[in-house]
Amino acid sequence: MTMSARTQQSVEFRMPSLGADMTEGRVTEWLVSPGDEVERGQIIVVVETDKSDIEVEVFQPGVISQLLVEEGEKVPVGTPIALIDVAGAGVSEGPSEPKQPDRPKQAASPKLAVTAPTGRAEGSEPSRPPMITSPVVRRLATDLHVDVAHVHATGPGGRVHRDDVLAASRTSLRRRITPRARRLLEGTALELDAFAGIDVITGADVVRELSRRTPLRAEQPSRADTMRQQIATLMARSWAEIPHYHVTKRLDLSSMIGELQARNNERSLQERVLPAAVLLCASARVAALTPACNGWWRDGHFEPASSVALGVILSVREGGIIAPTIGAANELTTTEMMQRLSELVQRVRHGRLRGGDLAEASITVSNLGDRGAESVLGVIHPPQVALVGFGCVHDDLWAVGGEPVVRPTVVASLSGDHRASDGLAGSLYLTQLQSMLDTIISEES
Amino acid sequence: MTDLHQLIRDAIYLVAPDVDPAGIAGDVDFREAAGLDSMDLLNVLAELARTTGIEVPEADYASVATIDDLAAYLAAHQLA
Repeated sequence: MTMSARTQQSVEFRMPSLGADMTEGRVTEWLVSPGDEVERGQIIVVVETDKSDIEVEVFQPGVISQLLVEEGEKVPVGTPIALIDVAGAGVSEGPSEPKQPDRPKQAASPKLAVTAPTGRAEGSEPSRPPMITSPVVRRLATDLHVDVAHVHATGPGGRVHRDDVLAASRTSLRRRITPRARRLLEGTALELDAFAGIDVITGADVVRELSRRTPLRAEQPSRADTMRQQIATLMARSWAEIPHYHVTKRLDLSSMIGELQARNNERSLQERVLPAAVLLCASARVAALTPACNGWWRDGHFEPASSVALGVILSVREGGIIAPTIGAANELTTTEMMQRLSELVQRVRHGRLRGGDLAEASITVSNLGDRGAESVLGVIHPPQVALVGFGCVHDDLWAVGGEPVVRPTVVASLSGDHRASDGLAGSLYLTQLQSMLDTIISEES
Repeated sequence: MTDLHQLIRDAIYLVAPDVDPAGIAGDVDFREAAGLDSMDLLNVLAELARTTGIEVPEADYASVATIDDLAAYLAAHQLA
């Protein structure tokens, strides 16, 4: 939790700890300004750590009363960085007439607002409020989080059409821009069109887009270097501290892949599930059944985890790896896992993780992907006690009733901390993984 | 280069913003060239489904390995 009570109305929003090894963070970008109402789960600030830019959410609704740390400033974990007035929450009005508290910044920069003509902009209240008469359109507006009062109505008598809501949703979703991004954009030739598909354009997006267009710019000591250092430290510590054992097992994926393909054929593209997501799902569920492999080695003894926080190793294109966490992964369906994985990969690709992504994992999976090596024997991420590795899924010979048959297979491995468990536990894990994979898809239908 | 080629390159850029899709020739395996994994490919195809309304079934993945092939595939199905 990153908030603590200061007075009855005001709570401090503190620099969160985004991972066990984080001691300080730099506020790179505020996505809100004083006076802005925030909802639970809303992303209000981007924090730079050694690993990534992290989008940080608030966990309590309220009104931002003060930003205590300027963009660019680096502060220790736990430092209050904003004040949020929780008494002002729940009042059902838009972002109107906020009290204007002192702000540690020069001019009141434009707030996170919609720049498109149909969006809401300061002082441009339409003379006649748009009307929604159709319940279908109203539901659509609610679903898309479109504020009806600011929709440009094209129907007779100010009536709102379905298309008006869609247009408003497109512009408001796709053209929001933070003050820092706006400043950076000024004086460049970049148009907002360059950011198609981005919900909220942030400074990081602008910087990335600018550097993409001037490819030969000299690089300062890059994040890739810092990340390399961190990986080096963690892996050296792991190898020095943890007596690893490794067990491997070749798994027959024919049932899983056959059933998955049949199911995918009936699904739209957005709902298709990749084998990689199924492997993660099965790994998490088996981890829940194998307590000795799911938890942490701390202060000389093993601490089992109560749920499966699944670390997923993803490679970063500029080099290096990052292992964000999918919480309560053992409770997800394969479709939900696919959704989570897909979003996670997108966030890693765009260099923008969320706070929750860096929660502490209880077990980690490394998947080499479609074209990689046949197997991987991984190095455990301390203080965890196990790491599951998957090589590439490939067709291989399998003996069935004394005859060779070609089947889709994968070599799974488990690296275990020999202080916390023995090879038998790892072996049991892999055996259970096979039976889990045999039935995981059919059980969902 | 057709509009479809541009749409495909836009989709690749959205999924992998660090790749310059203009640098990928039309007749090479774009997954290989852009370093896209199966998740990325799915996201590229999802983006194209959004912009063109055409969904490539899994069984046809092998026949859309290059940007040229994918554009031809989309063009053929647009007419259908």
